[in-house]
This record gives sequence, structure tokens and C-alpha cells, in this order.
Amino acid sequence: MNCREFVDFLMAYIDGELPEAERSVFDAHMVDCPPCQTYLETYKETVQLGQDL
Amino acid sequence: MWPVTIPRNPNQARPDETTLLERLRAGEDAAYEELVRLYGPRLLAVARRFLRSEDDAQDAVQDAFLNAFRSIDSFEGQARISTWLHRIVVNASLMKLRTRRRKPEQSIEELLPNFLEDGHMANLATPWRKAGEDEVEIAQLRGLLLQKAQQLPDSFRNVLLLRDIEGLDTEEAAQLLEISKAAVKTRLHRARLALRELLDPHLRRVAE
Repeated sequence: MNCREFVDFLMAYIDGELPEAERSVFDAHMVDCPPCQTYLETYKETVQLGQDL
Repeated sequence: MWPVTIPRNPNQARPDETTLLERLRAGEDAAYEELVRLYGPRLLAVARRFLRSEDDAQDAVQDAFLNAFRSIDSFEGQARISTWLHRIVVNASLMKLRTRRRKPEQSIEELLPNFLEDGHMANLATPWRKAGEDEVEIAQLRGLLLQKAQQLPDSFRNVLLLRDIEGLDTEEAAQLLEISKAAVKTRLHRARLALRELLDPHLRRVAE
């Protein structure tokens, strides 16, 4: 999985809709790629900001 | 009474809703005026999120109250009046959007994150600063979010507004927007990505 694919699957990941195998690949990418982990956090914060309105 | 005038002060205490509902069903004019006074400012704020024009937002609120007055007998009071009116004004705002002649929509592609040929991000993400508990800062953050959301193309902005801000689920949003659930999901994700990019320069943690 590269970063582009990681971003494509972000919403499915946080909604718990990724199949187990793909979820493992997703988690493994985050371990290897701290910027993507940060990207996930800022994506979740973007969602939370809207929901807090 | 018509057209309704939206009062400026939204921070009135809410009266007992059951009593107000009874008075509305009885056709009491003062009750209708009270409804507009209590809920008008909030409904206008909601309409402004969907409609870029102030005139359109005012029209949508007028339409919403008109619909509410006409359908008061079918409102059974199982939800709060504010929730019921909220849904009505969201519908009225979307109806207003549909009647507007559409200009070609800006593409969202230029607002999405960029990637290199090898699939890596062109700009590495950096953490955001934590939002404080200061009321002023929180209000500024809300204003920033709504301002940036306005920069999204309409078809993406509307999905974001309905799902993340109004709290509708995928099916409800799909019905209101008359698109498929799959389209709601795809547009929501892309809207969130674009909004994140727009917010990032303002929220990025400053290096010490």
C-alpha cells in the first residue's frame, strides 16, 4: 500500500468497513509511514470539528 | 404576520414546548410569532451554510416557516420543535438550491491532496495544534470551518453539511440529495479531504 491508496481508504477505515486483511495492510502502512498516521489524525479532527458544530 | 421578520437575538430562553405546540395547533397568532422569534435566527444560520446568497437564505427560512405552519397538525411532538424545524429548513434550503440555475461546478480535484508518481504524498502532513477551551477560540474555529466549507464545490459541500454538520446518516442524505448512497460516501470522503487541505495552513502546529 502506498500513501495515495492509504488516503483513498481512510474513510472506510475509520468507519470500520475495511475487511480484516486490508485493515492489517492499512495498519502496517501507518507503522512505516508516520506522516500518514498524522494525516489520519488530522482527517479525523476535520470530521470532529464539523460534528462539534 | 407574513413575511416573517427574523429577530436578532437568538439567546432567548426556550418556553415549555408542549404549551407552545398546543397554542400553535389552536391557531394562536401570538404562538406563531413566538415560534419565529425563538427559532428564526438559528434557522437562518443553518440556511446560510447551504445558500451563498443572503436573499436565498432568507427565502429558505420563510419557506421553512410556511411549511411548518401548514404541517403543524401532522407534527406529533415526538421530537423537539427545534429538531423538526431544523429538518424543515434543511429541506427548504436544498429545494432553493435546486431551483437556482446551475453554473458549471468547479472541480474538486485542485483542492485534493497531491501525490508524487510513486504514490507518496507531495506534502507531508504535520500535526495540528490542539483546540483550546477558550470560547472565543472555539467560535473562531467554527467560523473558519464554515468559511472553508463554502469554498467546496456545491455537490461536495452539501454532502459534508448534511452528513458531518447536520448529522444525517448516509441513507437520509442520499434521499434528500437524490443521489445514491455510494455517491454520498465518495463525495463525503473527497469533501473531507479537500476541507482538511483548506484547514491545514491555519491549524498546523507551529514549530517551536
